[in-house]
Amino acid sequence: MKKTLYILTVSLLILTANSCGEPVDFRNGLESEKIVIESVLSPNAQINFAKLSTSVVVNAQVQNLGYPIDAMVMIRELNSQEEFELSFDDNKCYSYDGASIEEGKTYEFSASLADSDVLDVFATTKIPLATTINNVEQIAIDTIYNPDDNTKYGLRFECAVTINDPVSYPAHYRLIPMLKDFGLDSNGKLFLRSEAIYYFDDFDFIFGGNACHDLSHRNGLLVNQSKLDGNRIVLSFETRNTLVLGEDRVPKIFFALQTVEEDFYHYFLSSSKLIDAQNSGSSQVISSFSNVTNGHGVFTSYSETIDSLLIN
Amino acid sequence: MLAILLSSFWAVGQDMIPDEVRVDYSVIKKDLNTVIVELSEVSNVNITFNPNDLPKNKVISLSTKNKPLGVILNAILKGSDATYKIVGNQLVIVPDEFVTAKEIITISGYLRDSLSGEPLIYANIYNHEKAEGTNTNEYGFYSFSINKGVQRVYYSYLGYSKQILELKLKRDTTINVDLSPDAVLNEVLILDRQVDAQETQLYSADVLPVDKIWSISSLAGESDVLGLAHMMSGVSSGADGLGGLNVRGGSFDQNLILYDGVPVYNTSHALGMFSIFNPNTIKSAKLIKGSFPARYGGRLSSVFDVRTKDGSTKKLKGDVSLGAIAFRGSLEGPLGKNGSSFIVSYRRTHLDLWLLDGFTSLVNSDNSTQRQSDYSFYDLNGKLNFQLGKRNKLNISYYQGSDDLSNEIVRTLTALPLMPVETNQINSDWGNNILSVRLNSELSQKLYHNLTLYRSSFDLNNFDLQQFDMTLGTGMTRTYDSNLFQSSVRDLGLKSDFDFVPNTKNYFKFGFGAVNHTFSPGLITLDQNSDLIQGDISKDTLMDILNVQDLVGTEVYVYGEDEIRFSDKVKANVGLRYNLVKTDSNYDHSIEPRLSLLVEGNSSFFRVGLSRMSQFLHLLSNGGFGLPSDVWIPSTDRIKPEKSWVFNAGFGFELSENFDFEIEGYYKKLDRVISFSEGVLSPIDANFNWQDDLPIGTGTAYGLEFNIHKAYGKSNIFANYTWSRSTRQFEDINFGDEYLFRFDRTHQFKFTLIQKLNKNAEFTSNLQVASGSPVSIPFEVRTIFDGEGNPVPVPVFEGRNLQNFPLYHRLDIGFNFYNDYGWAKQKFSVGLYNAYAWKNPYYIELGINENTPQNFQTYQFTILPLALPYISYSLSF
Repeated sequence: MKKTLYILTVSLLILTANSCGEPVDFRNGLESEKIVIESVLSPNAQINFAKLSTSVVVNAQVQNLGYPIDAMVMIRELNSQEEFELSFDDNKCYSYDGASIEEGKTYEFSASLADSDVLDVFATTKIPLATTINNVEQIAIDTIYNPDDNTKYGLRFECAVTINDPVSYPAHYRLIPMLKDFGLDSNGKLFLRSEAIYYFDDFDFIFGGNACHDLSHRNGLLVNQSKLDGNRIVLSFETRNTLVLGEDRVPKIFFALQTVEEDFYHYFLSSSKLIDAQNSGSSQVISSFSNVTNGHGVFTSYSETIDSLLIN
Repeated sequence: MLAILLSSFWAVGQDMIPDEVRVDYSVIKKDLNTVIVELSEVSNVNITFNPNDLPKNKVISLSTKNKPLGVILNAILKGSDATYKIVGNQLVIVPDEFVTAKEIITISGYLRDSLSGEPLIYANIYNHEKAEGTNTNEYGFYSFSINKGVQRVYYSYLGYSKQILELKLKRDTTINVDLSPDAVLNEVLILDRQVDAQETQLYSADVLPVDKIWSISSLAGESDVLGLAHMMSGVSSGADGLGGLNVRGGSFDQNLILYDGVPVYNTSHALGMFSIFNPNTIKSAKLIKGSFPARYGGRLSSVFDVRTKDGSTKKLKGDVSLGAIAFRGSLEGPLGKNGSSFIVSYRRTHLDLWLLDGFTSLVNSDNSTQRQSDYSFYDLNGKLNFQLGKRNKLNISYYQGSDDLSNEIVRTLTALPLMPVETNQINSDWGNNILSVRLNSELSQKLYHNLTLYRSSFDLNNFDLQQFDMTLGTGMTRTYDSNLFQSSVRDLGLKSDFDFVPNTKNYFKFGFGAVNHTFSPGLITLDQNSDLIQGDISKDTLMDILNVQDLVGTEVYVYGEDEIRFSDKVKANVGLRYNLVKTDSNYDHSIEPRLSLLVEGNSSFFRVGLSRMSQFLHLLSNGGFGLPSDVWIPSTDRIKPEKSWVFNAGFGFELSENFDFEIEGYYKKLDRVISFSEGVLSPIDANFNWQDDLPIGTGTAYGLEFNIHKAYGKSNIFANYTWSRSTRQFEDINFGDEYLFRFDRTHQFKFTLIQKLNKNAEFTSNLQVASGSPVSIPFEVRTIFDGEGNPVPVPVFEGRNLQNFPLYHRLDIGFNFYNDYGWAKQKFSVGLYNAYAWKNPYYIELGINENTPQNFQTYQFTILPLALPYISYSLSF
């Protein structure tokens, strides 16, 4: 009797404190595997890539997140009908070297898997016209010290980037501050030592508010023009790269302003949130963006201009 | 105070009052004497008169159907110097002493419980001759303009015997009336519907039947006033029927919850299973869902006005109660003989005191899992009332309550490679603290004043941790996700409210107030990628890192309203409220018109209302299912006060003698609502510009409510059906597309029955059926690539809240047994919550199938998957 009383009166606490999940399936039978693509075109890129995978249906008996290597992947310019086929390469992507991609033109993407029930996918993109940077100025530069031994650890820069009015609205950008491997010769002149590029991280937006979003995993930030006040972004970022710490530190920061499609903005913003939320049990639902017919992912594009800032 | 001449008085009973006998009578051109004789014959009421007292030349022609005899007599005697009075069961025509011009005087005073001296609020006062009435205010005070002369006034209140006073009034008079409770709970109530019908509400409001609070048991046999609110149409609770109060598509923070006039921020104990309102202390509760009078403001969706007892001024009384979860007790009594009193009550869980060790050993039967749980809550209420002379009362009120929850599960996942150790930990504490000092003053017969100074605070700390430890060849690897929610609100407020009743046509309420708010919100989310924590993760380590910033704001308001009685069938409330809010460096103001109109027929009514509302504070809710993970924040320069327009219209009529039917529609437009953004929760910390991350959007809610109510006889029935939609739209959520609000319930059906079985027993049942709440379910998982090109599997949500949980339904049944020993009354309850053990889902999670770890699986969590029996016992003395 005593044990029974225990069970009766503890039942509430058991259930509230130890609620166990029960497998449940809400599918309606129409769900299926799909091709997932991530492909970004740019006139500024020598090689254009497309990453392919397949999705899985949750609760299905057989689930294989696949990375097909024998898909037929085509990109075609809609006006001229010029097309080129991407091939699977050593980097585990589908790529094409030397395609002529031009601003203002529209391209169509298609991918299909042979001997598969997975539907063929299609998507289009129009290469945006590039917006230029009006001005870049340095506001502050701070040294970061290692808390353990008080040695120089890195530098934190605060800069203001002013963008010119876009060619068309709405406008979205990816802004990437970066360092190139410059050195100073014996005459004190700059020279490019290698093709290496180094990126910054730990972005913070002093002015630009919710117009800007950290896209650290893609080395830059996303910007929504419509939320900017006066086309000006004030941001800070840091690096611990030795290029900025040594005696021959590089006196230049380059800013790549990529004018991106709105689809680019939405896709990479949601992807960034999904990556950040991987292991978080308390994150809010992130709606998945896709512009791919019959599939998931994105086929999009950007155009780029670059400006630089001499550091004081 | 002038002595009152009471010529006669009746209690509610079976006999008909002689002048209320209804007759059909027609006559053409007969003299007054003959007409009176014929009326006496037709009505079977003896009417005695002296023909010399009546005008000889008065000729009467009239035709009337089903009219009270008294109304007919007044009509035929009009213009003569005679009137009638009731003597026993007959009528006597007498000369009218007050035949000189009818003057209007004022009667005022308090209505009280005859046994305890407790003021009765919203009680009815009704003048038979003019068919006009009024109500006592929130403090039991009334002021009523009435003709000089002999007047019959009815004083009534649900659950109490009616008093009918025949008054000879010559000047303004104070009349305090004591009403006796209707016997005891275990007697059958047969109420005269005609006279006792509750006055139709001018506002879209439910006066909650707090006399039924002991009949209807919520979870674990605990009676709860919030449970009464959940019975009403247009009200939905949190998930699985627990906690929460979402009214007509609004969120929890949009309810103005008043505890004796003081705003309260959190009403939940035990994850929303019980409210903070100790049922021993409740005197009345009203839920206003639309047509908000101007005296209420600061929230968008509803007003939940709870008033507590002042304590008995007559004798010492108390009660004790023991239930499956908690015990409670209260004590009240007089302080001296001048009408002062006190009341104190305490309620606490008892499971932790004697059960915990046994529970731990009972459930730790699996070597791979260790569990430790602890939970407790308590409420302490105290009130002192001091009668300061005849016209002033001072009230000091205190409430303190808190919850403490901890739960830790450490599990070795033997099915997975390397057998990682999973730790899930929750550590939460939250509570309210309210202190108020109130001065009530009768400034004159027509003017009443309330001045309140109060301090209300709410504190919450909620820590949770999910951690995986895996031992590899190189050492231990730990992945974790931890959150700390912290929310603290401190209000310091002053309110001054006036009631002014110049005549029978107008009832003015006006006043002003000011509140200083101090908010201390904090939110931090850390995982293994953060380098802020070295060593073990705990609530204390996160609290050390969190840099909480105090945010201060001030609200000032002024309001005025007039309840206008155009006739006995048409009433309106016209009001205006002005709010001024100071945020960091800006001011925001709001002009809020309030209009409501009521038109009554013989047994029907039509009501329409329009209100403009504003709200200075906001609640960021993570899930919001009654779990303590919500953060209160103030309006700031960027996050402006929320605003709404609320429109409602409805009509009602008597379906039959005991059944009332009502239908009401509403439309609500919300602006500047806020939400957490998509993805990982942004930290709310002084080091971050967290305000910039919060999306600001709009909301829409509309619906139709159908109510049937039977409140008389052996069966009390509350049944309602609501059809509704509630949506939200943010530019930065769901790609700017509108989506269903998480508490949207397209269909809701509720049925509550209280059935008297016999003198000492009753059966209760509560059935709720509702559309499943909206939910976002990932049907697919796909791959995205991080900056290094590594594939990351992520769920695919094609939109927010595109799916719904299955239909929600739950049946609760119970039996209550009463006994009266003379020196004490006893109640014994037994019942079943979720009687047929239906598993209503609480939330969905995507996880890995433990048997096939390469597969993704959705899991459903249910808080109450069993039928929960309860037993409780209470004794009142």
